[in-house]
Amino acid sequence: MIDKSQPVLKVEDLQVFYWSKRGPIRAVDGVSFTIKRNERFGFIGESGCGKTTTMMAVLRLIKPPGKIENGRVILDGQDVLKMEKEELRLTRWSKIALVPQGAMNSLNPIMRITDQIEDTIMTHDVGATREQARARILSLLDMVELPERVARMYPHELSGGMKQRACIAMATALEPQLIIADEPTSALDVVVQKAVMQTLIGVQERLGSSLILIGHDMGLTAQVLDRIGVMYAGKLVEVGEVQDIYKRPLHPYTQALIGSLPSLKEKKKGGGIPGLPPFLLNPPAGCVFHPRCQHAMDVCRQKVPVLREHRPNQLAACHLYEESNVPI
Amino acid sequence: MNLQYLLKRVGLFLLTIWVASTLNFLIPRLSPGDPVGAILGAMQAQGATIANSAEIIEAFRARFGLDEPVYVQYVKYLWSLAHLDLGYSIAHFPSTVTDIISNSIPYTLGLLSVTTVLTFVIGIFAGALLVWQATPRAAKTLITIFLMLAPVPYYLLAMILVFFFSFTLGIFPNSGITSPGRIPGEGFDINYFLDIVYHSILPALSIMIAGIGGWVLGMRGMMVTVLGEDYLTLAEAKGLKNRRIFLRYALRNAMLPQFTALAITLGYVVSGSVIVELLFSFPGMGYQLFRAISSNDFPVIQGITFFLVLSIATAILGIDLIYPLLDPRITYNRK
Repeated sequence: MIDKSQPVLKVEDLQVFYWSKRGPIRAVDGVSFTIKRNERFGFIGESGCGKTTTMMAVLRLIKPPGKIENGRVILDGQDVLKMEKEELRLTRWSKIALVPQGAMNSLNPIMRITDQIEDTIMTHDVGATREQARARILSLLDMVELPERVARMYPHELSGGMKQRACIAMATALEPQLIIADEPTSALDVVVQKAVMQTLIGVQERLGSSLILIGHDMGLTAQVLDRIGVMYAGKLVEVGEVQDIYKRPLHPYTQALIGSLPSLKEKKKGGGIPGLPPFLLNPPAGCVFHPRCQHAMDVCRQKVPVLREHRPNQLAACHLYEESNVPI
Repeated sequence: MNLQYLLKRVGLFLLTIWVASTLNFLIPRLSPGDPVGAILGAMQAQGATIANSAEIIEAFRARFGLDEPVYVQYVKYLWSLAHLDLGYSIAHFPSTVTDIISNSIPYTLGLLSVTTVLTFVIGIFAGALLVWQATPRAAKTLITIFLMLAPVPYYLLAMILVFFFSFTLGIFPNSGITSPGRIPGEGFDINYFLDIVYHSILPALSIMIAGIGGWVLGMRGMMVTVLGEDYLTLAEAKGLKNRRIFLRYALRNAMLPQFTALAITLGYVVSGSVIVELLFSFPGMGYQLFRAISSNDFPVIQGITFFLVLSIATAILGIDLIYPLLDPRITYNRK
């Protein structure tokens, strides 16, 4: 039974390194967060900041030379990282499903859509016959607004949006408690993006599951999310409710990120963030953002800031707010 | 699949056969050797005196139609080809070429189609397993050994096999297709058949051991590409069993390009395996081809070449027509 009082997912101090000849590349370094029941949580941050790696680690899909070095991934009360192979296999998709980043290449090109969903249902042995599975697939397709004939089609016969919908249908096949959608709309054109996003949200609400949405399209994500986590250089630098993150961001990186968004109301120059993200083979000491931060202090170069609640339900990892350096 | 495509494809097939047959006709006539002269030369070398050699040459030329103008020869040649009449063997007159081919083709087809298919299946699996992370280390080592054997010529392997299994251990016969003096019984004689199989084991092994490596190499390359595809990650995320991911998502996709190579290899089967057949005195097409070449027996060479062209073209036509069943992304419907 699902214990509603527990969070769906609790990640503690997750560390994922990619091992190169010159040493570990700290792709994800000490990330902790909690996903509540029914909530829609978004990870934002620029390319290479560790969003996708974090999610792949939650699914335990990190491949060599990547390695999960440390941490706990508590899914529905169980540590995914400690599971036996068969237990892990059965947990995947039944409790946690993935809407992949590249829907274009995520479907097996030589299998019909229905077969790719059917094998997933059958392998989890939920006691369904093949006929029941097929009937279920048709209702899933209907739920994501795809016509029945799509079931008998091959991926190359579908448009990008249809493939992404098929992936959403597949993700919901076993009614998981948590759906991870990794930039589900980034490969689609703007008109289709919104429709696919609405489908995803609709399905998630109907199932009552939680949703983790990874994306760098801040406009689109802001409309649908409850909470947001901002990642930078393998670290989670700020977590909070959507309105707080957008209206009163705490971390200088979040501020710069929000500041870089174009606005219809005020004419302003698109403000970029000067400098580049650090190379994670050799991250800067102290706060990873200090070389680009305009508020950088001595302490930032020496001590790693801790992600802490500085306002109700708003966490940031920044020395500015420690020991009341700056009035909030 | 539409009819128009089918007709076009069959038309191309016929065109290929025609062009190849024409080349097949021209090339021997451009070579300096003369089969009749060669026969007479051989007779003279054995000390025979030939009084009326000029008349004999004329008689032979007339018998084989070599006295007529080239274009007449060509038309006659095409006409007989269409009737699968390949003429008489010069070296083994009055055997017809069709006789020679039909006597040796069952041995060659039996030996090479079985070894080719087995080599393909083993090579495909081995190549896929070589890069599959769940393969036991011992299996990977074994496959690597096959990979190392790939560049070793198969006739060298054949000699090594004969040395060990035939001369040293005495388990298998070193040559021939049946035990000496053995003749088939009435109807289908199972023991006779098994004797042939027994005699075919060493030739088959030498072809297979040397051939597996090539398939392993090709398959390994494709498999590495497929393993990096997003749909493989998703298959794992879906919680599918390892075996299903391997067979249905990885191997099945990676082996697609190999089918074309298999078709071409199967097409070559009728030419036999010249050196292995010679080494084992195995009376197949390769053996006949060798004998024909060494005795300048044009009609037999042409006949075997024609059969080879026919079978390769048929194999490729076949794979072209069944490919849409293997890979749904390929269709022959007009866009």
